[in-house]
Amino acid sequence: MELISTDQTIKCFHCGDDCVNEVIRFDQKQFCCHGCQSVYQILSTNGLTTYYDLESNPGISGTSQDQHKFDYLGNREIALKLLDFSSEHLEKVRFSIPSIHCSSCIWLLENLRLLNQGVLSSRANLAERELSIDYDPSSISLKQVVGLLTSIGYEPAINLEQRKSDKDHAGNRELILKIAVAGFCFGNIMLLSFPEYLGLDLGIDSQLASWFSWIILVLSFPVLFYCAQGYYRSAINGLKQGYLNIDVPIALGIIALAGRSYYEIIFKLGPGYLDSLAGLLFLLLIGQWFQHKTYQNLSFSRDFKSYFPLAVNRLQDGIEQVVLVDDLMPKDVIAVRHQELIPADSILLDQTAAIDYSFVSGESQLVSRGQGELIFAGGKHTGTKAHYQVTKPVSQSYLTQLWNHQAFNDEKYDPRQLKINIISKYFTTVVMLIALVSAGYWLVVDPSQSLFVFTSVLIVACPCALAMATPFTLGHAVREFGKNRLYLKNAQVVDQMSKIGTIVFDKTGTLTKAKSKLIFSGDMSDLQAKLVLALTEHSNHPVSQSINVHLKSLHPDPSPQPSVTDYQEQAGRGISANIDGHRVKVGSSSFIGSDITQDIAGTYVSINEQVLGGFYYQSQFRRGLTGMVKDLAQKFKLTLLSGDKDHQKQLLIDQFPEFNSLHFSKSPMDKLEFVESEQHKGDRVMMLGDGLNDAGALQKSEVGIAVTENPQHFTPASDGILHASALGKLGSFMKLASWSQYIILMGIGLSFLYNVVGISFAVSANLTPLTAAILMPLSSISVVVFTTLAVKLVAVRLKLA
Amino acid sequence: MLLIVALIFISLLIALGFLWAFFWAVKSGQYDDTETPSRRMLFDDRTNSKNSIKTN
Repeated sequence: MELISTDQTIKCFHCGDDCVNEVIRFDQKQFCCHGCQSVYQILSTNGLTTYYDLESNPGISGTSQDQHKFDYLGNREIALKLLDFSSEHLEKVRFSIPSIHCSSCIWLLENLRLLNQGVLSSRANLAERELSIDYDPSSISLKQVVGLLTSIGYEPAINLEQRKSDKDHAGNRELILKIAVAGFCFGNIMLLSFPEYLGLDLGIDSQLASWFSWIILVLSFPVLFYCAQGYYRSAINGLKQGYLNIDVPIALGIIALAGRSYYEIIFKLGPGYLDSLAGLLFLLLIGQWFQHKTYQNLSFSRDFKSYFPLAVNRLQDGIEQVVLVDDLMPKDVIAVRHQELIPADSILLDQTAAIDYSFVSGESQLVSRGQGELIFAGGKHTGTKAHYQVTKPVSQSYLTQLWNHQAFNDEKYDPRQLKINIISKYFTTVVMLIALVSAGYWLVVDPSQSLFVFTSVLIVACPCALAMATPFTLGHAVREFGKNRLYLKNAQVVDQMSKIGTIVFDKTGTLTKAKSKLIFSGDMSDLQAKLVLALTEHSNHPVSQSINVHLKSLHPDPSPQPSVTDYQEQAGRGISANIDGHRVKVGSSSFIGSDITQDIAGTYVSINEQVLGGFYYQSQFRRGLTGMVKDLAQKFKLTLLSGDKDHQKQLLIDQFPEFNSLHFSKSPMDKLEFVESEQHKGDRVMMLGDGLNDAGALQKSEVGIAVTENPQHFTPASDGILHASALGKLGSFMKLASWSQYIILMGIGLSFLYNVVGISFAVSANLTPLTAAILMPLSSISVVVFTTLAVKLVAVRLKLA
Repeated sequence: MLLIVALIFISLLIALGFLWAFFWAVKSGQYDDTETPSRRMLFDDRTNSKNSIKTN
């Protein structure tokens, strides 16, 4: 099979994509499709071409031209669910618009009112990819607002259930506030401790010293009771579940520090260690915040509902009615238009339809289906409007029942596995032992020092530095990954990645590009090609049209126009006609009467009953895979799981001999179960997939990575989103993840050294507030510096930086 | 020397004022989107967009 290269590099003025199939010239500019051209036209007629000045090629390709997609918004009940505010002359709504990506987008969207007078104002949020619109319902309806957005390429992703909650914000805001409070108290306590640090004798004015102490004491309350809350809670939770997590010694240290300091201040025995307490929490909270790097604009938790339509047109007594998909019942008849998703397993009632399963399999190619055939939910209907009879409710369909699996309810991550919490168990025990033994020793030697030593050990051994090693290392690793276009859901994923044994790849859309190419296999002269071109010109069938476009790109000059007579179209099978005296047929192998037994679904061509060959969709592998696979094979078991038939098996074996096993014809549930069976063998699994059919496996695996060509587009729920262009770096990613574990261990070792020094001060009853105030931040800061530099160094070595 | 104590209290009050301002800023969502405003300020005022309507 040969591949046809496309060396055309005409860039679309609107979206910047290469114009592959056709070039539309308009207003002295080139466009890749009518969608792009029409958006340009709308903007230029409204004087909004500044859009193109702010950034080059800011537009969004693949603008949906379907006018009926949002018909359901005409239903007041549904519309009300979306509106934030509604009155006679003002309605407020907030949309999530995944295609917002640049300054031009903000500019255009905030100038919506220039396109339609009914829009009162609009405000974009680039970070979250949201748009808030206020409009006057008496002059524009919600449906029209959405239509307006769609017409300029900003189609909102409408989802009734998963309206973005502000919960995430609340958590993040609270942490920031805690840091602010801790920092505020830390700074002021340190200022007031200066006389103490400098050993100034406030002598006669010992009253002043006691004022200072009391102010410090008051300043420590918010730290102790507000900032440290999370640590108490986590420690208690850990203890309740019967294990000593890292927060137990931290909480112990905090309480020992505070108790001891209050005792000293109240009884005027000394200045206390409250500066250390505030500093400790300040640093700990910063560590938490650092680890909490989030990619706000990416969604890691989409299920099928994010892809499926909210409502469909149900046919009742011959009248189309908009109903929510959840209300669909078996036996209902629905009308599905061009480019609409079929929401439930259904039977095709019309003669023929072409279905695009790209949401499900990740591969965009059209499949022809005939009357009475079962169509699985998730397929996109292409072509003229067709009717389907629902056979199963939406939640019970072949694809969607996947979400009923237990894997979607299980908490994936167990903090007990974190190295720091394993170490913490021993650490806490040892520290308590040392504290008790030394307290016992001093009880014999000098009973007055006993309690002092006991608390000193707990204070100085407080594993602040220990607790910093993990968040800073993982936080840096997440950032390095992000720079290389692997966006992780949270820092724990790095930890999980370091323990992986098996890597499972999906084939279509993951190893191969999402857009497959139409190729012709066989012999066809130029003259014959023109005959086929003339034939396909007459059919509206999507497959014929893509063949037509393909041939046109090879034979741009159609003259002389051949004469077509006796044109026939057999639904779901093929087309035929007499052209310039030749009998030309294009269609399925049975239609052609071909004896080619290819197991690839192809569209065959015959002229005068002589079979010339067939058109196939061929997928292309992404770049940089060979090296990546070779690299990974040294350390991991590699498996390929594909939903396709095995016609490419030999090609795959030749290309990637390193794969340990290849599995084909796997259903979404099979994929999930395969991952499960690997896990039962004691392996930790990383799954890379892209379509909804991988959603179960992504969920079940320890690390599920969604591979996509545009991270803002649809990706199933996952632990990370990998830009397809960075797939070749997977080997380096895995190495950095496992290196991060060594770095954490080294950081922990470093903090142990400080602990040994500190404890030796403590057991010998020599721990002064000043030593504590120096030693504790010093150890934390050196751990932070060490982990930062180490991760950077490794990233540079792995060529990730 | 009580003057120093008084001054310290005043300085603490001022600092608390700033802390309160920060709380207010965070809680009113001013830090939720730090990206859009930074770009929005670069746009030219739309004075000429209305009269440059459609030439083709």
